[in-house]
Amino acid sequence: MSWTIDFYSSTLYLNLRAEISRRPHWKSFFFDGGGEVLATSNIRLRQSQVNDLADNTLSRHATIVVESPQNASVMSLSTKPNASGREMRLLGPPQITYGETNLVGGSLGHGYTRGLSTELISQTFGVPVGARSLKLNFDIRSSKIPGKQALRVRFLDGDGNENVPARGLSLGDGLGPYTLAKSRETSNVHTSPSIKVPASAKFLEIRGVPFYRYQVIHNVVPEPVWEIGDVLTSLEQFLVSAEGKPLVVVDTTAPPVSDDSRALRPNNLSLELAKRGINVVFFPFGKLRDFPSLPHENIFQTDRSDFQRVLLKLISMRGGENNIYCCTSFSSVSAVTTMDLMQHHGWHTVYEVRDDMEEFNRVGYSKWYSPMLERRVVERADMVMSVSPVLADKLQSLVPSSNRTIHVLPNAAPLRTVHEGQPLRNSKTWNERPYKVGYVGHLTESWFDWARLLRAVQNMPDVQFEIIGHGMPKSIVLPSNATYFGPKSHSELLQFVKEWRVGLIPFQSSPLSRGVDPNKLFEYAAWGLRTVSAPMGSVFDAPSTYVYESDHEFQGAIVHALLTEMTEHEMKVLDDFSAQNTWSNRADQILSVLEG
Amino acid sequence: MHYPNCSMGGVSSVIRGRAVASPESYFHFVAFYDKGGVEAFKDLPNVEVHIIQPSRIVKWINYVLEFHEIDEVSILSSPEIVDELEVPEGCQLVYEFHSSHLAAIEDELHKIDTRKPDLFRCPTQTMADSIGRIVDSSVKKRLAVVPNLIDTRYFHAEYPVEGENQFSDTPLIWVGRLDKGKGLKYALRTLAQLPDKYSLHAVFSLTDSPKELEEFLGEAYALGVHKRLHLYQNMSQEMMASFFQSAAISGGALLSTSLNESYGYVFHEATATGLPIYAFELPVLSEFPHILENSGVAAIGDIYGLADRVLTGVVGRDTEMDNADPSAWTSPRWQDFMELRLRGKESRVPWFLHDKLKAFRFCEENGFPTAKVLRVFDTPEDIDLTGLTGEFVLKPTLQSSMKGVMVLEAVSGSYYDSLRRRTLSHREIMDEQAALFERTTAKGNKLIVEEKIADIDGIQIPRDFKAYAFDGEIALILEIDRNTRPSTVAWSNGDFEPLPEGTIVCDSRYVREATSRQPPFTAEMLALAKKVSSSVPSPFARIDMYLTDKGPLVGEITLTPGGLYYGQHYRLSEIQQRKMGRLWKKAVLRTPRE
Repeated sequence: MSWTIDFYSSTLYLNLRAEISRRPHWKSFFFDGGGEVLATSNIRLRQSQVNDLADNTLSRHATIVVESPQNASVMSLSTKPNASGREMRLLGPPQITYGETNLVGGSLGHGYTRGLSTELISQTFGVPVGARSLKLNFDIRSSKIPGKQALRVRFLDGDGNENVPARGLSLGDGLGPYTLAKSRETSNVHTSPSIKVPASAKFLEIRGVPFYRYQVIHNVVPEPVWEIGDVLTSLEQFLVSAEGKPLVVVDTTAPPVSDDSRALRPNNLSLELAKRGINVVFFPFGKLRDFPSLPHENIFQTDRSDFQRVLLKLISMRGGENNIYCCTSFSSVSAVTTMDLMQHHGWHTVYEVRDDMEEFNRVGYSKWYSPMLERRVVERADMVMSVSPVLADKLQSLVPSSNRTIHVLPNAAPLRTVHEGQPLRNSKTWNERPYKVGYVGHLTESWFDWARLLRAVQNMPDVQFEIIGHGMPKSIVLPSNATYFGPKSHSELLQFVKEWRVGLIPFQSSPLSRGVDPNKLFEYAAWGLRTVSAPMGSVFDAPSTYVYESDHEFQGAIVHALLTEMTEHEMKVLDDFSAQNTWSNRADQILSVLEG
Repeated sequence: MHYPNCSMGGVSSVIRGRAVASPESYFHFVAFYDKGGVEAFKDLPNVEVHIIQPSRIVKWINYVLEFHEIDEVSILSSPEIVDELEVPEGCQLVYEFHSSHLAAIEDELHKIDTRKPDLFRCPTQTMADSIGRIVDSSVKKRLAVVPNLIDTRYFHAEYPVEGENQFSDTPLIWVGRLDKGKGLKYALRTLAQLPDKYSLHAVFSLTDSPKELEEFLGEAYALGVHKRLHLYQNMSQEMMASFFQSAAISGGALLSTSLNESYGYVFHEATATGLPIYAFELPVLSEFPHILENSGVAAIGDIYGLADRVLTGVVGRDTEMDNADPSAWTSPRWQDFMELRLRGKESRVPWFLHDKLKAFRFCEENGFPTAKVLRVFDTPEDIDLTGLTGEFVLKPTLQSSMKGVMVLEAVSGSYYDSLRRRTLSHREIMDEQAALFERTTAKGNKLIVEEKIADIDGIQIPRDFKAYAFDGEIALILEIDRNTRPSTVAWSNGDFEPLPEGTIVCDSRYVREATSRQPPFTAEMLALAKKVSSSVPSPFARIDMYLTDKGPLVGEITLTPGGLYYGQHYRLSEIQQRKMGRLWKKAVLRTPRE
């Protein structure tokens, strides 16, 4: 059994842990950079060098000092069978100490097959310059039943003194700072807790310690994955490259950019702005998670928890009218104060409203909302826009005595949807389609009008209804002429919608739904579908769209939309509507309003 | 050091100040919650911030105390952890009080085994005195006053203003939390007393609840000051220093409406930056003369006093009135202002009010009760008194004092003038008014006939009540009874109370002085005078009123009362001159300048 270790010093302190019964024998080979053997030596441990590590194991720990020849950069270490013919088994990774304090971790070389029992884990790593945090990757299995694995984690300063326990670590009696990986199963478990690196830390020391009475085995030695640099450093670089160019800060309830399955208006518009050379700093509602901080060369995004400090950095580096703070449907305490702060520093401010957040608040969501705060934001913003006339009226009603102009700029469809739907926007093939109507979107009872839809399904047995999306209530039982297909990806959707004639937007009548400008209106048009919709958003102005108020009108509209022949002219109008209502065009309109 | 919240607030300033002053020491700031304050320490190499859950903090501190060399562990506002700390020998345990609420401190003390801390600490003697009253002697012996320190790297008079960090109005900066003790609503009410050019810039920390801000904004909207209100949150020390500088340059000030302070960090920071302060007169301020020198203070809760301080721009303790020698005073005198007005140096004086007809219309438009105008004549030749029954008053519209005023009643073909006790023919009336017209150079002079006012006491010539008023504030009231020879006068203050001896010296050759007494309808008369004064677009006007059995009426609005100015009949004392000068100045600052 042998191990190969890279090193860069003439004196090595080898820390070895081995499963032995007697004094172990090793042989070392030293190589230069070209692989030529420079020297070999036998290493015999004296008994005094062998110390017990734990009472109930056969493992031993020894430190051996080895003088390496000049120019040696690689050492190969192999065990020799002892006198009784038993080979020494190295359990811990060979660890090299240069001098007295400069500790560098080694690695398990080939020959290691069984894994390490937790108490044999003992690693020291140098902390890279600029490291702010680390994730410690565990790959463990439990020997018997689900168990827990603790690693003592200490940071040391340049003098080898322990730093105070870092954020992300627990403290155990007699254990000190530790992190815990839970093994829920006896099979392999991967976990990677995040640990803050203290500013003065130079070394990271990891020691495995038994936790509870079950043995846990590490398949590989835990390795830190360092997170170098801080969000502010990255932001600074981004802002330096954005110097002289316009910048928009998007403060939103939307998910991160690149989360394509949940992309909302702010995500689409941010990408469109970025394509036009406008730099965007994007604050999603929650954490970035695994989405990139630079989803586009002109977009920087970060966790909401960074908001305050990023804001201060932005102000310190940017000022004046070339900068816009845009609050989109998030008129929180933070937005109220940010708006004034940015204006004080010469920024333009925009408030964009996509939904009636008061209604979300009423049903228990958006706890941050208050009409007073929204009133304040409407009043203070340099420009206010909404996606629908209903929302514009709502905003106006908050500030009745002001002459506040509310710009209505509806939603749109992604260019990709419009391009992919091109073959479907054909009157000839439309007229050949079966009598199918469909719905794509969320199916929550909070706003989807299930009762109305089910009555229509029952009253129209010759019409096929296809329903796609997530959030389907478990209590719903569909008649035989209706099918639920679950959520579908964008590419899968085309296979369904190419057989539909009509797309439905059957939302309950409420301030929430009436204010929304449904994205699916634009998507249905892009797929060459007629739309039957509840009264909401900009549906009144959309072509091939039937707006209903009652069951009778709903069912009548479906029948009419299905049976009326699709003319070339009508399809041409739908085609033009789709071409006009892309996020790209919408971004141009918004910029034009902003330039005002 | 441990404090529950890590925000940009006061305790962060305490720690920052100590870290800056002791660069050789290393500080661990241990908090339960990050309230946006972690960044406050990013520029300090000797401070490390640790956010530790409440359930873990005791174990954390004890571990650090056991395995690290710690000289001092200092606990703020977390009495519940003190007893559980295992402080090794050689390490000092300190409990610090930084709350301004004595009840909160008392509550903290109840939760601690007071024998345990080696030292108790508070930032001011005022606080130590208060705490001393609620603790036993053993605690008192261990209670030390350790003043807080400000970060002088930022808070100094030369700290630069960031590029865009400018104010376009007169900013009043308010700093604190939105809790009731900091009195932000008082700040809004103070703002409501100030002209539109003043704006309030409130910087607060520790708030993410919409409820708190909602309540506060509701007050702002109710007071109609929401458009003059700017709100900021969690600003860094650098930004605050720049903000203060920018405000100072713009003629602004720090407005504090805090009702209690243990130390008053913001006072120290503003003073170091050169930003004037207007604040309630908190006990703690008496410990810091350099801050008082920089402050205009009013009684706690007195928002009118605070607004007055802002308007008059007086900072430092107002000692002028303490000086027995008025010649040493520097306040402007009423006489000086009046002289400027008379010399035409004051802009935008509403001279139109000296036209009695226009003054009548002004009163009518504003709904002020006044004598009815019965007839208007362009020239004396147009005078037509036929059909007028009972007593009536004929007067030129552009004459001052009693010139041309005739109180007439038709008596068998002639008219009896009861003011001068004579009988005149219609022709004589016209001729006398024509002669006066010729001597009047002002254009637009006319004649009016007014109804005769009946004095409430039934005396022949109605008494005049003249209120010397400054944009709604009355300094003096002069009551004149012309039914005696010479006329009888009585002076009183703005509440119809007697003036201190020597405030006004009357010349007995011209007037007979009487002791003032409160007439009927006192409250109504004062209210009317204040209302008229506030409506007149001028810092000073004398509101002349009559008193009838239905209440007070406005007679005239006089912009240049000569009696006091020329001093022939009566003279103001120097003190009164200065007092009225200050009122005039305050009113000038309060009057919109477009």
